[in-house]
Amino acid sequence: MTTPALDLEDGHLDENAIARHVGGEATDAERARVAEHIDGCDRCRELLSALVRTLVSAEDDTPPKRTLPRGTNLGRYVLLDQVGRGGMGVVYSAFDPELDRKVAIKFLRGGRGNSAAAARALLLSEAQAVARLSHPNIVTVHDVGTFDGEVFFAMEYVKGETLLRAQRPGLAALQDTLALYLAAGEGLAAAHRAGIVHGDFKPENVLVGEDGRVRVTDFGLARAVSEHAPRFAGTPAYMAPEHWRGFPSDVRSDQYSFCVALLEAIEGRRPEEVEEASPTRPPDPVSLRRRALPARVSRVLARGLAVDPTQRWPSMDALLDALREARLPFRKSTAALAIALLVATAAAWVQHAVWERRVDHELFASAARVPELLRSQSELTDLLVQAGLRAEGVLKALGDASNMDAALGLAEDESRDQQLAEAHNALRSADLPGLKTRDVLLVANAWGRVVLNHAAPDAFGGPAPALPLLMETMEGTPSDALWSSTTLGRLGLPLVTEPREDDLLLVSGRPVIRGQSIVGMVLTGRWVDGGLLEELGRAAGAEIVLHSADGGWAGARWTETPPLGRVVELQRGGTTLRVLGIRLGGEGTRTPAGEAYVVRMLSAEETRGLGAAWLRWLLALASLGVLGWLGWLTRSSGWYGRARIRPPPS
Amino acid sequence: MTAFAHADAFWAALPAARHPPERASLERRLAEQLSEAETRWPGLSVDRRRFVAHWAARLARADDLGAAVEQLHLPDLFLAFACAEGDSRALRDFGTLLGTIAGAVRSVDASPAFVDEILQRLRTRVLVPDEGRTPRILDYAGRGSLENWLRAGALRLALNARRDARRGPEQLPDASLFEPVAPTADRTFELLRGKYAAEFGRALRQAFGSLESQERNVLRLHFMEGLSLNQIAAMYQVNKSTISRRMARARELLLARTRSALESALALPPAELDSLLEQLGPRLDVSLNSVLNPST
Repeated sequence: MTTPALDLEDGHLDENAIARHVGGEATDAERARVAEHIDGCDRCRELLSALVRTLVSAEDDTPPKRTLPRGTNLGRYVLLDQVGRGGMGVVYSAFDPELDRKVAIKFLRGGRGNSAAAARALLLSEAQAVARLSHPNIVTVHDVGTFDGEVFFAMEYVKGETLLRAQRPGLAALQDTLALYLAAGEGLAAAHRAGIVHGDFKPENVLVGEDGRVRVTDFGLARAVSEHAPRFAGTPAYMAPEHWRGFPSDVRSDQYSFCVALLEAIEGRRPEEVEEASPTRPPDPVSLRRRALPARVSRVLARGLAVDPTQRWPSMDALLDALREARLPFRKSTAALAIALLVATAAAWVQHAVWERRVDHELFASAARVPELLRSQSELTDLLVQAGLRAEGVLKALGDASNMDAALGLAEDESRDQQLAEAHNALRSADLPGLKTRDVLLVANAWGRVVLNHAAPDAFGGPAPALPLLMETMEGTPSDALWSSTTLGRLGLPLVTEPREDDLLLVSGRPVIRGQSIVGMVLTGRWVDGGLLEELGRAAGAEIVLHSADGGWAGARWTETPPLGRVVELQRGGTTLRVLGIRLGGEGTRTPAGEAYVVRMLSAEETRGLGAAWLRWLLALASLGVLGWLGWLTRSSGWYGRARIRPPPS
Repeated sequence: MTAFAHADAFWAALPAARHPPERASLERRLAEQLSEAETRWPGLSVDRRRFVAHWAARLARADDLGAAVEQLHLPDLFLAFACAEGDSRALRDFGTLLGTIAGAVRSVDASPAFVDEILQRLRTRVLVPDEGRTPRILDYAGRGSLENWLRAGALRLALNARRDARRGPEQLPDASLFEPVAPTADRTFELLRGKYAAEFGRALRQAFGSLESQERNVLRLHFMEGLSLNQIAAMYQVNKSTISRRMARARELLLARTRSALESALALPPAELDSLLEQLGPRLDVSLNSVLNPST
């Protein structure tokens, strides 16, 4: 036998054994030992299951159901065409000669449980309860019966489309969306009053007729036809959290599903928190922060989406009342907002005319006014102090780059680099929501200058000019770092997406070293290796290669390069880019993310134009704040947001 | 045909006790295998003698050397070794391989940030040596495919990360086993619930504990991990019908033992007990879930 003992690492199955097992290569003896191990080890069982789930289809290849021919008699109904096939079963159109009308016939899948007879009985009892419901916003069930051992419903035939198709995303259509959902909600509320839970509310289960009337369908069916435990009934993305904990759904679960559907209707897509939910993966709590929703609607949804059912609205009726209220003042506030905007814009232009000559260019070029502007910002001072820097120093660095170390209060020894790195990390990860966009820009500006001066003292033939640096991440989405293109984008500043010859590419991140060379660099949540790094290495010659005493990052040293980085030239797409590699994080610290930016020095003319544009915008915002709308707008963020410095995603 | 050029390095790395009496035919196979691996991953600058020694060391525990040589995933082992050596082409191929396992990570959490972070961590974990240790990719033994080895590593990191990030769901009170499934649940059940909740939970747990490990496993995998019969069959490398039988038997046993445990715990009239168990059938899955997830 060639069977080595079971590989275990820290008491868990070793990856070698797992790879062999899921690859179908394990011997009987190995397989038996793996089976024995996972019986007692939750983690390994979970791991193996996750693997099998990704490698093997769950399809149990059940044979497709036969289709009934046209003209089949079902009691008093004559079958016409198959019009749909869904999770619940097959839908046919049919004719009722007695009442001379068209009906829809829905056959339901088997029904849960072992005994077919018991399952049918359960299904029938549920169906009969639903058939007793009569409400304009509920699809009328005329009849319930069985045919050839299968349960079917005869229902009102609705000509129209599903709510999913009828709804239009976006705030512009918000009034229509709310009207549709208020109507669907009435249907739910009526059922709840009769003691019936829907159990699978979603836009596909709501029909909007050609007459415009909204009707909810498929009450209680998900639970009745689920082949698994009721826990697995319903559509995962809309299912309430208590479902996953094994509790049966109740009227409050319908509230949750309703709110998920409404949020989806407004935003045009399902909330990402529930997108990947599946029978084995509960949804994450849905967060309503940072969504472009009117605050009142957001409050209604937030309560309906509470993880704890007891924290939701006391009833569907209460939810609908709140939604109706949220809808009305919204119109008033929209009108008021328009007026406020007009006033604010006018004010901004007046202010701007006065300010322009004094502030505009100075802010970017000589930055003479910056210390004065910033001094009043105690939050900003706190931020800088947290970062281990003298607030005065950063301000001074903006205006005068000649002796930055002294200005920043940095020691003139080896620990300076450490201090700089720490400060950089602190600045990047600071979260001060009260800080204004302009402040962020100013700190970014100042700090960018500090880094450039230390990392590449000769890059510009002298101290780095006052920036702004316009940046775009080179790879992937902009990071939420201090120098965030999002922040700049909000100000209407252009982003550099097409690097040109005299641009500087800032590469920062955690280099990963193998032996004597960099094998990769972690950039903005993404791995860059091979091509770029090789090019970088070639362009840099020996100097950018990190040497490592023991082969690990912990002991890595930048040799022959300034501690923070080095500028090299890099050919890329026929363009020569200057690349500044900077290192983040002190020794022993983990900086999982890094960034690559294109940094462009702007000409005085460009700067002047930009300054005017963004200042105008800022002043407009400030005026809005004065008018007392700031708070309201901020809650309805998405139209514009306060600048936030957020920690990078870790 | 010349013999295996690195034969001496191979035998030197293998304990003498494992050397077969007849080496020539095996050496021919070794030469063929190495050339296959080189064809699979051309242009890797790897010190062949050191690789051959590494290869031989993977076989040191094999009783039947010939069979073990045939079973080993040599091209994968070759690539892994080249990665550890820092060969840039190998690292690029490794990057491609990482891309193919992203789907597995996505099954745990689909957000791009999460997937990137996990793949990044995996990469650092296997390529960057820890203090005083060779890179972990050298732990890859070639016994399964490198892809599955990486996939297992990635999923382990992903599951750990999710576990760290998320508090477990609340513990299910035993009484909830008796929550009516539908509002129309009948009166008998309403009466039974609450009255026997604790005993029922205990009986079910006891019955579950009395099952064979194999029976417990299929129930766990199906109800707790949500695997289909198809997937469980793949996990055990047996027929779906075998798993189906195992599952049915486990359920029957569970019901029967729960019944007898209840019988001895409660002095119930047979009619009432039957009624209770009749209700239990369709609810078994829910109840099992809470028994299987006592604290996670």
